[in-house]
Amino acid sequence: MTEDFSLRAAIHPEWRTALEYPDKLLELARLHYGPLHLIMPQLMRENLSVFKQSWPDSTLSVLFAHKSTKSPAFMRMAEHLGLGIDVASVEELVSALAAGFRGHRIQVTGVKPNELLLLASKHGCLISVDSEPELIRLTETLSRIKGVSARILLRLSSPPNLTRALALRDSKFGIDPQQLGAVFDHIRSHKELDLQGFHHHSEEQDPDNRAVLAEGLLRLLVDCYSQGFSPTILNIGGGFRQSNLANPAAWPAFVGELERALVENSRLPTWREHAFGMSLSRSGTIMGRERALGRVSSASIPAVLHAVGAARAPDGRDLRRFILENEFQLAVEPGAALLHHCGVSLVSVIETKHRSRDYPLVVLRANALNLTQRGRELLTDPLLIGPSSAQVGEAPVRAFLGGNLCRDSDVLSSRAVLLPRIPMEGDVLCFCNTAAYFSDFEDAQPHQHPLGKKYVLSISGEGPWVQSEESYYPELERTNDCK
Amino acid sequence: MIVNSVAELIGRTPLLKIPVEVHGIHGAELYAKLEYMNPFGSLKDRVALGMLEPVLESAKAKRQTILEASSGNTAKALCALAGVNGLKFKTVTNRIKTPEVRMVLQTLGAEIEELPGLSDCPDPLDPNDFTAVAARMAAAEPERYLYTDQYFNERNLAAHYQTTGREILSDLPAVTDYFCFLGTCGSAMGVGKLLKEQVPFANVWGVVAAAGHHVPGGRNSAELWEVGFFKREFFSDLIEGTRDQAIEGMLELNRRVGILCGPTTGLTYVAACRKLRELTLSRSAGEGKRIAVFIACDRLESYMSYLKNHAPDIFAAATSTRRRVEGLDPDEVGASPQLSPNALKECIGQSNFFVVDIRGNFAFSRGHIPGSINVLDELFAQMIEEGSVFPTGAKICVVCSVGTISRKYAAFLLGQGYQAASLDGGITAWKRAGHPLAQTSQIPRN
Repeated sequence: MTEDFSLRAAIHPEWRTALEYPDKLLELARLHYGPLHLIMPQLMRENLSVFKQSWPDSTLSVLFAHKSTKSPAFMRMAEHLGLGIDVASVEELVSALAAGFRGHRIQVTGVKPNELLLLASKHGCLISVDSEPELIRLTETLSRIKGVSARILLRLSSPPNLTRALALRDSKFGIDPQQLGAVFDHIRSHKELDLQGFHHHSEEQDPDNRAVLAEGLLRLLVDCYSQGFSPTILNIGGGFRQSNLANPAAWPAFVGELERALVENSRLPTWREHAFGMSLSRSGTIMGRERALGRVSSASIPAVLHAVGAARAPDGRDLRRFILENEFQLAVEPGAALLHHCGVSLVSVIETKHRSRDYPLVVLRANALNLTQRGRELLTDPLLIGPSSAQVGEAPVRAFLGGNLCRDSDVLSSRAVLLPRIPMEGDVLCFCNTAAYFSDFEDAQPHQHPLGKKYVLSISGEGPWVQSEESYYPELERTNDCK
Repeated sequence: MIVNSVAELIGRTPLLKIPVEVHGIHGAELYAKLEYMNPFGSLKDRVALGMLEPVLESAKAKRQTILEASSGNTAKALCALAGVNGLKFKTVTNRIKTPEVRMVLQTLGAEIEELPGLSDCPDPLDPNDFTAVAARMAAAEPERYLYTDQYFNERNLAAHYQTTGREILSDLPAVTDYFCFLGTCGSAMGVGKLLKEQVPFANVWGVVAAAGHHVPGGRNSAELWEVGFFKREFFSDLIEGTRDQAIEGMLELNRRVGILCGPTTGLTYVAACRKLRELTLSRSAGEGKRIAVFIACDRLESYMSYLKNHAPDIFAAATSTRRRVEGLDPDEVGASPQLSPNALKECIGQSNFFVVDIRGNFAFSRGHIPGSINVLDELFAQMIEEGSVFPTGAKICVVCSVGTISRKYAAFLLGQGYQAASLDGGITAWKRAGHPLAQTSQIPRN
């Protein structure tokens, strides 16, 4: 393994400016005993423009996936930018309403107990129905609040009759296309159900495969017209991932190094021989390489939207034009893609342990649960922020990052990360691009350690300053970003 | 020459000498083994035959479906041989990147299962690769499937050891260098093994695409660890090349030698020339000529889409002077007249006045301007580019959804001498002005 190997984070110019004030950042890190997350909600605007430029028609409806963050500051910015929002619990619905979203801009997906169905119906939200039993529960719920109808999408486990066979992975969600006949019959016999479109969320990253799925969904939507329905919404879900590496090619190179180490049976540069899902088969070949590579996305948002737009519509032309001509809507549900670059996390160093047989271990005032996305770790090396009086000119060092839990598996990176020098007490590690999922999706309090805390960071002539996320309203900000 | 079975045509391919004026290396003779002259078009014909031969009778008795994990030449050859023997063929692959290959397989009647690409949520426990899926499929229904398993089937190597290798040696007993592109590594290791046994000083050179480069049918240097047959120490060296070099080498062979091969062959050729140049420059006095062979593995025709994507200059359109709707000057389009919804409404019903709606028929049937006719824009362009399709003196208003595309058509018709205009703001503006829309009684079922 080459010692200089590193996964450097891509850093937005706004954060570069903030990083020019290390003493200020060290001071901010002391505001909270646990991990401190700094966020810049105004950067959502740039992320949104990637979608708008890739699909320049007014037919694109962008629904911010609430689950990607708990911060009210991001909710309010999404509302301010004119987005819709996708919620998946009563609490998220309440939070969306509190951020100023009216019911018609809210879509409800996921697992929906009766309480959520009731509240969503009362607010006139769009309900993405996940199953036939859920549809029946929705109808029963509506019967208790006379005079209220529900706008619904039907979420499918897979669009039927795809033009190309795709081996889709098993999903908990969506209606089996075989059951659509019964579902249509049920909707036809209940006038309070208003079928507005279809929904399919895919983990698929290949743009051409996304196009095949969208094409299947559109064909179903069009076929519905001959059955007496007139749906107009085609929701292709989220899953728009972006790489947060300064050099995206660094990841395949790292995977290649791991492969080599596995094949040659040499020591892996990872904690407890973690190999990102790869293993050596009995015949000595590598298994699981594609999945390891898939940890960093290679498909760009424009590539996916262009492929979807170029898919074949039922009249033989492209899907984007078809949607425009028919005044349909293409809905997408980005979460992380809208929060790209919108936050960093500061974590204080407790000490560094030197170990004779291995890389040193930096012990941190945080644990893996504070910075995780659905069991996945952040794949970039943190930046080291130290007092300006600290030693400079030391050699870069490779080190493991240990968390504050009494558990050997608790590391903040499975890789030995590259740092400019040995960190010491008083230093802070800055993890980049943590706003979506990483900073709060799985945050918990084992050992009663504090949860992470978020502050909105702005930069003025005097340098960076912070305010609480609760007090942040884009319309009331002094900066000119929010007009 | 009368042949009783297509299988008899597999093998015994010629070695074509590349003229020294083309490769330019005076201390070397370079030969191409024309594997694309096999009946199904590639070196994989030998592998398919080799893997099937010993199990064919039992497969026929059980009426098994032949199963392989291949997105290219192996699938093509297996499918053709399956057909000859009255058997079905199924292939499991990652997405086939060359549409021509998919179409050929469909034409031959193959059942194709393409797996999705990279997933959003990596699951370390998922045995994800397509060979694992194929193996699982075969294991679940062993009676139904005959899984040929080219990545691990020793008969892949054996086919090349026994046929390709022997042929090369009998034609060129003094071969010094053998160049082969690495895919399953069957041809490289099979031929290479025989060469090393028979000619102790012979070099076996493996050619791969550089990391990040895709040359169809082959591996890049980062992917070799996945291949069962690959053993690094077997090769004198691995030579890497780029996609552009593959295309460049291919074009040289296509255009100057008459070898109608694809890009993998092109890269092997480029790598061979580079290495031979190096070897001949450093050779000592009295050392003999180098005698080198490379494999021309498959045919050019499958790679048109690949070339269109990566070397579009080859297909740069011949310049045409004909006037086209899509080629109009933007100023001309911008100057074309527009009718407001109200003005258009006044005109409807006048004699020799036509409203042409160029949207798709689904949108048209859901709502259109009463009295308008529906011709899809692409078809309308073809019609009017052919000549004057409307009566002399006709007035035409072209309508689309928002009034941008229709302007090009109005401008074009204006140039043909008609009084043409487009509806300002399209159907959207028409609706907003509160004018009625007609619907067709039947929504088309597409």
